[in-house]
Amino acid sequence: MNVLIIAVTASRRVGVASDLDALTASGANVTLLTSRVDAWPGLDPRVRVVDLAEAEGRMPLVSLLRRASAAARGLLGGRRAATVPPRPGRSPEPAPVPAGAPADQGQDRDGTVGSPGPSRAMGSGRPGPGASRSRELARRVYRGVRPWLLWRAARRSVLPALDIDSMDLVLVADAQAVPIGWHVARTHPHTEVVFALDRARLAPGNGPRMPYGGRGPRDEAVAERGEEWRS
Amino acid sequence: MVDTLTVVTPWFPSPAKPPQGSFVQAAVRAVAGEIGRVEVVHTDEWITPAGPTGRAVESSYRRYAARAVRPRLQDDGTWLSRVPALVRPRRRWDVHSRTVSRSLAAARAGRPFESAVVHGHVVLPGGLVAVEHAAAGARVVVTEHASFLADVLVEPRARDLYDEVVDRAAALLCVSAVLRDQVLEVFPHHRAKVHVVPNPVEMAGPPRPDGPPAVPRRWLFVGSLIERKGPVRLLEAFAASRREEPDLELTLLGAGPQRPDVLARVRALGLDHAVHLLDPVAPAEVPQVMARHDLLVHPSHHETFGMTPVEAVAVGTPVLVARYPAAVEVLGAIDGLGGGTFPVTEDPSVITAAYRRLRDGWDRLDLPRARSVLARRFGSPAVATALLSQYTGSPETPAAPPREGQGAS
Repeated sequence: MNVLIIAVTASRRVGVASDLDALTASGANVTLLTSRVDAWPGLDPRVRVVDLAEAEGRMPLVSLLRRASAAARGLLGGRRAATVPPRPGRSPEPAPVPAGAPADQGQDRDGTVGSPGPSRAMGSGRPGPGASRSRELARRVYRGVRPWLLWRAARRSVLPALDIDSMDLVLVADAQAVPIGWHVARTHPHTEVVFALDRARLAPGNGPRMPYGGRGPRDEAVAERGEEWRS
Repeated sequence: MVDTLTVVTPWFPSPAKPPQGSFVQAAVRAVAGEIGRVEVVHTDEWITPAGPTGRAVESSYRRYAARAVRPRLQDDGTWLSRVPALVRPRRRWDVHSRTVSRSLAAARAGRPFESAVVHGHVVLPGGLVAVEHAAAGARVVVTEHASFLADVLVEPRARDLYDEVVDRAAALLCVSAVLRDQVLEVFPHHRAKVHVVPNPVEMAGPPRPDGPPAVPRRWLFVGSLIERKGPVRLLEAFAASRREEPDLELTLLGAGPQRPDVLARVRALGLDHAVHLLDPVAPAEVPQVMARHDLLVHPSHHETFGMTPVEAVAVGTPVLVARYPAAVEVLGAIDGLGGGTFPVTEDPSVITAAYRRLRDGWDRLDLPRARSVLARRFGSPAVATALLSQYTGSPETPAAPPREGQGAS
């Protein structure tokens, strides 16, 4: 059985890690598509991890925004930094991470901080107040187009290599993966795209009890009771 | 006889959070054998970004959620649908609840629940989802067991929405009289439909195979590692007790934001070899863990019911429990039989003193009798009877009696 798990962030890491364990234990071939490769240390070596952030960083629009941000920083940031003091109460430096906080604490909850764009994908120079403002502007622009960009990055360079048609199951594992899941569902209507793994259909140790999308005795029973219920 | 039941809940055990909503699962299993078909709809909260990204996520979700959410047959014969609820953090309770309801509407493509009875857990959001998605003519029952109820009711719009949900429901069940009084304090006009139906605890299985423990050597804490539950207080009390009895051990079964504090305190107190920190396990495994320990210590400040001590007594493990109001209500009848109690406290020495008293009277405990007393009130058959009578609309459990100076409205 071939399974693709899309977890753009690490916001549901515990559950996803548990699903990964269950799938690998059942003998499934598992691919994890994520933009937070660093958030999954100690994964079973049988899990293939595909870095979406890398593909995202290669998108032309990201390069463009990065250059625009750098130019604005050079023009506006430099000039303002020389002439305008920081506004009272506003630090140009990023807020410090509390001591002892996990590396990704709070990062994924608003979907921006710590994500591959713009703070990571677009780089960060020494921030003056103007630079900070231009970076915030770039961040806002980027936030608006990111779902589309992620899908474009996935479609252009990631999904073709994964061969979605060969997947028995695509598991959408967090909110930021929902748009990619939608595009996969739309372009591969015969591929099963779900939000939760049905472990009852996995056999421990000896491969799947039956492939997802196939039918077996249990499926028949499920379908029968399901029809009975709907009628 | 109820043919079909849909249970809507924001909490249900999952691989990510094994113990979350174990009481909901227990309630479902208590009645499942008496109902033709039971479906659990777990509105699993997925934190969603704000702004354009969030709107794109919601837009995509609406387009295929109905295809991607499928009920799955569970080993216990019930059906389970996990529905991502695209929520944003730190929203008002009314906004949060309506968001959950909107996600469910997308996942069901607007179809109402077909069941004759819909049972929502937690008025906001489970009750709101239940009343908004129940079919015309369906009976809606809502159970309240939110420990954060005071935070909900302090918000004016959430309070209005709460009032509306209770108004539309046929019955509101509270898991303890303490919680019922909290609800009636704000909504006295709903007195006629407010009942107390406790959480069920499975007591059909045999108690611990080796009988009641001879000495309280192995302590156990089960619960989230949060301030309210008191894991750090317990550590301090344990350290003091261990100075008198160096062979004492403590296991903390749980996870939560206080985990770093707990680990730091364990190191500072030099308890590395005496304290074991275990990750949460599935509800079915908790009794086995309890049976491997001699004493459950529960120093919580507040619970709406307090299921853990009841589960411990069910397997024959004595308990040492803080006297928060629900504990007095639930465990009052077995004080001295199933264990001991102490006042709600910040002071670890109070727990240590209570432990000494319990240890000195250890031989006077009567766990089989305590178990029997609790089984009559909280055993699955007793609670199932109460739930089924609510589902059929012929409640055997009386509505809340009028309090002094208040008439029924």
